[in-house]
Amino acid sequence: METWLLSLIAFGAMAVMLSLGVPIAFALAGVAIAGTLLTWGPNGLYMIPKTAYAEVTNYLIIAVPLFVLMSNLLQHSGLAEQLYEAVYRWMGRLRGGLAVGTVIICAVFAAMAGISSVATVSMGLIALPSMLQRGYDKKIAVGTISAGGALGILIPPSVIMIIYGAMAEVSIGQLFMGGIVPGVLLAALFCVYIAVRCWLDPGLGPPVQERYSLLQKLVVLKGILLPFLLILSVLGVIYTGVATPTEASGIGAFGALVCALVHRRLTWKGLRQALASTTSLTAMVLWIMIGAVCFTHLLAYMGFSDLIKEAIAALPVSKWVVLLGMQLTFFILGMFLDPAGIIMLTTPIFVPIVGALGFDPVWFGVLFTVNMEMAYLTPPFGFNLFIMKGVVPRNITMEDIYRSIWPFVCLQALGLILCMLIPELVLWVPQSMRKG
Amino acid sequence: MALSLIDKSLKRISWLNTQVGQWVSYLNLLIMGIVVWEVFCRYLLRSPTSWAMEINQYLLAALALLAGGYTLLEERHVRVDMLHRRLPPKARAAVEVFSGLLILLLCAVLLWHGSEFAWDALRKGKRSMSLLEFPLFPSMALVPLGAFLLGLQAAVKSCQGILVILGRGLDPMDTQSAH
Repeated sequence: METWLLSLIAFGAMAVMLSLGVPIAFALAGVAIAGTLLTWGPNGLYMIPKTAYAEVTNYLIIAVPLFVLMSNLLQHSGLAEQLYEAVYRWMGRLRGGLAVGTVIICAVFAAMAGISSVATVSMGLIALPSMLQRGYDKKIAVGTISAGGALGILIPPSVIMIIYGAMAEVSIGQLFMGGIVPGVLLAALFCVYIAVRCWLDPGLGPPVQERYSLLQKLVVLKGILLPFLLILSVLGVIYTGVATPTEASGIGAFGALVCALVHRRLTWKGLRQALASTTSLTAMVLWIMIGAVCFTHLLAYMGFSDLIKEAIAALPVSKWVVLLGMQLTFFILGMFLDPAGIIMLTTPIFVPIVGALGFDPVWFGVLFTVNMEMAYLTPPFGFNLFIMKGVVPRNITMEDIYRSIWPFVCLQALGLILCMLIPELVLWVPQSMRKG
Repeated sequence: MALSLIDKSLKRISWLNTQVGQWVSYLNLLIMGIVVWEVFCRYLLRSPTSWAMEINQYLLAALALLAGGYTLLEERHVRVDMLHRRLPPKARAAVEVFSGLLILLLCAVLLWHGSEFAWDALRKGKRSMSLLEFPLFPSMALVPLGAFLLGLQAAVKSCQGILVILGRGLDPMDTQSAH
């Protein structure tokens, strides 16, 4: 059969299964097995267990459970409360100060955690009630936390970047470093937006009345020491090239465990929950990888990548239009799927195209991650929306949450466009690392 | 009578996968400990171990493969549930049956070829191509073992779906919250 027809059938079957709600891992594997039987015959199935074995013993992926564990343990460390107390004492008296401070805490958490849910849940439980109680506008409060929490996957460490790096065979250390400037840029855009809105209309984020002496302000800073040591030890060793991301993830998880024990916040039940949730997330990621790699083998066998290359070469548009098209695809998929799933579905197709067009794969990986910031917020399936729904008081509806995020999604889109127009924003740090 | 027997076996399988999931989750701590030990040896003692990272690769395989069934039980395999949530219970059950059968297909392939693959490693005494020369059979046997656990749970999923379609069971989405 013709390659294009086969590909069409494969993608069509996949689309139907995914929209019906078949788990991504098994939709990929199912299409791969059926396709292999159809084109190659039963002998082709030999590949599948070998592929599965190669994926689950991938050295790079060891960092996934460890960074997730680090994040889950940080949730039990009491660091979030301490950071928020510092923000409250130092910035509470400014208009919108608590919301700006919340974005900063989210960025700090993002530099310790590899996933977005830690900051979103912690700030949803700590900062949200505090802001609402002090008369902050609910849309500013909810939007700030949803958008700030999403920074978790952009500011390194990042589980999404590890998965992308492993699938696209790009250096994970370089991706991490590439995420720093865009992450800080997005955080800065959020802060400026909140500060300007609250400056123009103090009713959105009224100043806190309490006053603190300098001593009271200084005392609270001791809570900041541990997080900064943790960030320094994880990111510092990766930047200087002393340790690999996998080694850094082990140090980070261990550091988070120590933090949680030092603050005496970790119960046996909390530890077991953190471990169980790390386990199911890791298994989820690896089973999707097994499905995705089986699917990639099928595409390769069908000659799909040659088809794509021919199609791209014959395409009457510039490579920038193709890039824009890919970003648009990511954005649309992001409304329905979670980022790990999007990587698995698109890397087999997009990565060869990106290579053929001559774009920097590190840059593309970071652009993907910036794009996924929006995926965490866009309905109907925005992960942070559901987290927020779980923590907001009853008088805030799903509608309120949907409405709160749009300004932030626009700022994220602006950040993405800036990173596309000025690749140096992404590539400056990784390049300085390459030279160093 | 037959129904209660089915019900009992479904519960046993779910119990088994819960136990497996909870036990393998301690591997996370072991993997962390090994990385920390390796970092300690490499950077402070200046004598890296030859085994740490390779053993961790096998532990990762155990973690991911054995917890596949547990993850299915906990409904943590990512899916697009926008349409799924809105389907009438029987249509939703039909999707669950179909998903279960797809998983069984994958598990059958992994179990069948994976066992051959592991048996071959055992028979020939295959070892890893590293300094450690660790036997490959135990980690390779995890592929069919993990597929077996996942397949059992997928069979539970399909059976529950069929019971719903026959009008004899609870919606699997509802029983989920009972765990």
